[in-house]
Amino acid sequence: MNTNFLRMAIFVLGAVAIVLVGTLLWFGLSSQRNPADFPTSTSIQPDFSAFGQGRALPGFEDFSDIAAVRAGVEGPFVVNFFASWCQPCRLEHPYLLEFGAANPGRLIGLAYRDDPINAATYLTTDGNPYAAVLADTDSLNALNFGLTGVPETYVFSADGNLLFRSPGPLIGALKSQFIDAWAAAQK
Amino acid sequence: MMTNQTRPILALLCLAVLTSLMTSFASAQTVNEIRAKALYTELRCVVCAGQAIAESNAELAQDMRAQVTVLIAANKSDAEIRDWFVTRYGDAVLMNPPLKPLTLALWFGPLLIFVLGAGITGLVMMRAQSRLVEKER
Repeated sequence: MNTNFLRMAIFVLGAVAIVLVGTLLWFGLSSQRNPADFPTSTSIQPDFSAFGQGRALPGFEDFSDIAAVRAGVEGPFVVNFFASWCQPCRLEHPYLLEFGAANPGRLIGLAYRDDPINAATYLTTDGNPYAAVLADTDSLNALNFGLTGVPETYVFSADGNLLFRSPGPLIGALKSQFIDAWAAAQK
Repeated sequence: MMTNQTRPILALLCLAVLTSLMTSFASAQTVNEIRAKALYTELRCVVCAGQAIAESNAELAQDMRAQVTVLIAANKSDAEIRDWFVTRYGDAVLMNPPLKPLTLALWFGPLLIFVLGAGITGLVMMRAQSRLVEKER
């Protein structure tokens, strides 16, 4: 075979290989991407079939009817998964209190894998930001919402479409993204 | 009327029915256990990097395992159980990504890179060969 043709073919194939591997490395080694993080997406709709099921926290029985709270206020709403054993939850708690006071009837809390007594103690000592709050027994709501950990916060439109989810405490960048998403949800 | 001759036959019959009932119950249980264990290895623990829920003791993995057994008890098929998790967590919850247009590069990319490499190696060898032939002339 012609040596020139072979030289050309090697050059072309080599260039293709370099571009291919280079693109893979470029995206694979991006500093923005942590392969340990589970990809959370707003295109996945939570399943509301068990929403409102769970155990009331002792002392917070008046706050146990999620359906009544949802029926009482029209418009977008927020679901926040928390736990009394969860340290990052305490970081966002002051902001949740602020948000709950500014938006009555909009913030719904679900205690994940928590003893209702411990969750109640936590809300008594640190304050209750929630219009409605339940302990998520059997973690059914957690799985239905595609939860990847606590805290996790979901912003829904009035008709229950997922607009934004924060896979971590509402502090720093996640907090400002949440504020923007909540402002956009009002429109 | 029960005679002395029919009595042992009846007893034997009862025993046979009882053991068959017991074994079928036990085998149904083990079938479900085998199915559950297989599904545990197919579903990703969403809080642990690169681990199936079979290998993880994370609380969310425990919840997911419990849900698998609940769905099996509710007579859901393996495909339905996989779908149950995929609708809530997305394709990433499966240890093996499904084969679809978006994941073609994932499944066949390494093969493509291998073929490219083999092609380049082959061509380099052919070139060396033809140079040698030209020199000998």
